[in-house]
Amino acid sequence: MANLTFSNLSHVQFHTRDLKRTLTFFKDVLGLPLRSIDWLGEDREAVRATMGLSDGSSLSFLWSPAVPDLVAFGTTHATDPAGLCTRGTLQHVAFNAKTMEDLLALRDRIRSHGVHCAGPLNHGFCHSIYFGGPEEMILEVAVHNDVEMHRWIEPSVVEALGLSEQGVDALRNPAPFESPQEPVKNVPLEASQQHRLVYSDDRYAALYAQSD
Amino acid sequence: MTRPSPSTHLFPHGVHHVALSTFDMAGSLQFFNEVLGLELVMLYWMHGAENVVHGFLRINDYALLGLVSHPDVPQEIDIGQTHPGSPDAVSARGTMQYLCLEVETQADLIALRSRIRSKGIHCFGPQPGERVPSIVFAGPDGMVLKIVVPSEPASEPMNLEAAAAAGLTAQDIADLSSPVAFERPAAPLPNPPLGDSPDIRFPFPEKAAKLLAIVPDEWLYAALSQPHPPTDKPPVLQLERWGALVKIGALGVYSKLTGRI
Repeated sequence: MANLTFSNLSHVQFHTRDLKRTLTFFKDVLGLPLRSIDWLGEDREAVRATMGLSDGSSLSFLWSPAVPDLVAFGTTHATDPAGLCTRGTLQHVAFNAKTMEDLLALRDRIRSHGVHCAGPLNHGFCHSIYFGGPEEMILEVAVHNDVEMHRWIEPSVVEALGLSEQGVDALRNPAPFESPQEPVKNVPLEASQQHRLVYSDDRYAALYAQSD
Repeated sequence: MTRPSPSTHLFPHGVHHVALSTFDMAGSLQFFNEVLGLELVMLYWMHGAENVVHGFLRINDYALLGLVSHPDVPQEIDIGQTHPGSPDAVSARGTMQYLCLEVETQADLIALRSRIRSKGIHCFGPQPGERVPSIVFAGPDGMVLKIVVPSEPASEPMNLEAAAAAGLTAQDIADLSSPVAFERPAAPLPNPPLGDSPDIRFPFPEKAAKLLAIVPDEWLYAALSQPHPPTDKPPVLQLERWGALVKIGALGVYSKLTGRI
């Protein structure tokens, strides 16, 4: 069976305390259209809005009075595109430009709104420009260069990570998955401790019980 | 299953990459490889940083899932602040709640769910009656991951009552739905002048930000680009690069002396 592939990234969902300011930034500075806005969840406390990218993917924003008004550089947020932030957090998001002309036009658009933007820099496999967004987000726009990306698999990094040649080979060629006839059920409730969504014990048990 | 049709209006064409911080680069790469079947395409020392590794996995022809591991990466997962922990919780403004990928069909979604569950990871969904079928599970380092099958847009995508609760009027919604086309100026725009308290922070340390805001783009390009693959030997003489660094340094000194920065 051929390896199942993803068609695209669908969306990244961010938290915001100021939905109007956040949406206005993306509409004015990057030209994204608002695609939807609705309640999120039964209790009508949170609102979710999505802004469209031209390939059909989107950026979505969750607004709720419960979103903490917190920016802790170095933990919740990075200070710069190479900066530290807590494991498992998003350091930055880079948008795709199809051509260098598009990248430079976006830079003009960004700067025309009084937003500073650095670049482009040539990273070999892409050219990138960098700027800030609302809620201290770090943003980038990148355009792919016409080169083979595997030339950026660096032997000294492979060695430093303790990966063998077979290990790298396996990473570059993921094993296909033979999907069984019947959908696979979840492992027992007490299993799966390492990768586990965080809920109260009761809520988790209920969620687990519901899952087929 | 249709998506909104691509527009000729210039705005970014999707996501090029996300950059997720991770503690264990090898372990995280293996997670995405074994659990989701993503293929490694790049793995290198990050430009302009010490001992920081960048790894990239292929999502499609242009979109990549990026991982960054820094030797001093903060470890503590603070539910409600750094991480929401689930798609039903929140964390700090500007932080990610979850990352969502998409597959083509419902059958693919169920197959992927089987793949995830076969690795011993609890995966929930899709819920009956969901307009957009989705599954959700935990990824490395406490991140929340979702996968969806793209669906027809809702018949009434704009809920004005919800918008009002979040501080948006019907006029705001109409304006936000119609971004203005951008007329490119005849010549590339330089960075805007340095302001005292800019609305949007230029995401660099303060001193660097002040200099970056006034450095000509061509100098920055020459000084900081690293176009050669790491497997190639870098050129011995990099006159253009050194020349640009000297000019930037001189601009920095001069600007400091004259009080420009």
